[in-house]
Amino acid sequence: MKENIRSIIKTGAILLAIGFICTLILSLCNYMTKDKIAALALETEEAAMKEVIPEAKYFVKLEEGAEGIVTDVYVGKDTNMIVVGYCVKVKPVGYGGEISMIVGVDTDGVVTGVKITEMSETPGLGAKANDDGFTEAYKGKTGGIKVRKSGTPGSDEISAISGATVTSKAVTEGVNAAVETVNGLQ
Amino acid sequence: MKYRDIFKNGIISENPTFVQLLGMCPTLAVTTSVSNSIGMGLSATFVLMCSNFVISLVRKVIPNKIRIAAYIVIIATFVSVVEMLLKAYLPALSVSLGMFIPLIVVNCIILARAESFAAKNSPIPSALDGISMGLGFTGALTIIGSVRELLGNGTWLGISVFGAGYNPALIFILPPGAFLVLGILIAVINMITDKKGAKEENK
Amino acid sequence: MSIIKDFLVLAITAMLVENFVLVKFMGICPFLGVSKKIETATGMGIAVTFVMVAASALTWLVNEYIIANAPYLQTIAFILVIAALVQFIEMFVRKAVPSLYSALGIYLPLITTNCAVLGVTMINVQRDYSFGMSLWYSFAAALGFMLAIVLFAGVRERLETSKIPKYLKGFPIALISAGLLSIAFLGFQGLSF
Repeated sequence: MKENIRSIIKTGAILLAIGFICTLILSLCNYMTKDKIAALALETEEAAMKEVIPEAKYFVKLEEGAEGIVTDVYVGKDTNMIVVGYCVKVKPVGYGGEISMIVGVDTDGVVTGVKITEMSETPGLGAKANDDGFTEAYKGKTGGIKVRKSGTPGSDEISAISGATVTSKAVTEGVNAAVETVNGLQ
Repeated sequence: MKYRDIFKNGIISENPTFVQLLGMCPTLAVTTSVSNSIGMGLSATFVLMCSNFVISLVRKVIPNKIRIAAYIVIIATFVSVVEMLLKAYLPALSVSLGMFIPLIVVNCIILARAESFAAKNSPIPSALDGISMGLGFTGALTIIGSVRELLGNGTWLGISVFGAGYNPALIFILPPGAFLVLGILIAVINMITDKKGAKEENK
Repeated sequence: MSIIKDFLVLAITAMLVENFVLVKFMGICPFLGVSKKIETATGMGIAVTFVMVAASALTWLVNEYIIANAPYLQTIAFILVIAALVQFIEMFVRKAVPSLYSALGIYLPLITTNCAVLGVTMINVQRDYSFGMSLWYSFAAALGFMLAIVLFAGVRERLETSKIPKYLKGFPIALISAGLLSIAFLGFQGLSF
């Protein structure tokens, strides 16, 4: 009996020691990488924002505007601190879950760029939304955009990605929400 | 000589994917493109090498009863390390492999090698076994990924191969394509080894 | 009403549209390994369902109250919870319901390394599901797993008696049939609510 208890304690202690060492290693690794990961996230976000409003140099987060699928609104200013447009972060729900995207809208409510930052749409179908050709089509539109499945799109229409109507609709919904938010701000 | 055997074993004669049929989940899931395949393969290789080495180091200290639990903890540690390193230095790859990075923990290849090799051998050969099994896994994934990306997208490692006129057979990038390609590849390998065996018998 | 609708949509999504085995590629090992007979496939399905729901409940609590400030410990904590849970269930079932143990016992140890279990717990966290939603999602996902494995076992039972080209016998033909089954499930992608 005594032997038994001793062996249980010894086994437990060994397992505990392994767990302790591993947690220590992980904490250390987290400590070394977390700043880098945070900086990287900030960097990619800034790069994306500059891409959708090329004229802007500085971005300031606004307190208002975040509602529904709109998660954040940033105002973009150029080097003279004049407002040149807005970056609206939206998260519409696509086929494989939320699509995180940033929409650039200028002060006249015209879309200047769309950038998808994160999504889990089907590769080869919905994931094509990330191709430049698709997001490019939103440029110059002024909201109220509709998705067209076939034929030539009109001035307020977008051709759907073939086989991925749900994704196309979700991205469009995001762009429309962004334009609406910006119009509401002014 | 012995080390050569370890490598031959891992990469060809006991290839974890095509011969032992282990670790099927990542094999099917991430092979939609060549770059994903290589990324997944090398991440798993790193984990295999480290976990084999450490498990072999501590193999005499760990009581038999709790060995599986101990192995899993050690493997999970290295997987988390890889996860953090990828996030910090290769963010694009980390996004496209997504959940399958943490899921390396439950990749049967790693636990199988810990149990059948690292628990019985000294650290250096164990680490080498990890590398060779990992390379075998990477190679297999790359082959599957090449077939799927070529047929399903017309590209190899992102470079257009068939030109713009090629209308890609999307099905190969979609989930069913994974099953079909792996099934046919294994059949082809069976055929090759069978023919080779027959030839050697005739000699 | 909208809550009921949400739950129903989630169930159909988890079971069919993003079927764990045929669309998300999780739990392929048991799917290919224990699908030679319908009875064993059903047994595995039930065991997985049980573990998946229990693991979702436990990991949700662990994530919310223990490692909330240390997400980098998620992988290691979750796999430990699952391994301990499986061990515990095995001991409990062996003592309490020996008849169930003799039916399910052999599958239980295999479930620790079933990536569907670890996968579902991670998706719960990733998608920020509430406690109830997590349980419901994992239950539906497990049913989807069971549906896939039982259907596949039915196909494989028929394959046993079919004439198959020499080199396709065994594993290759099983994979190709799984591919065809997966094409069928791809059809559910067209569902929209």
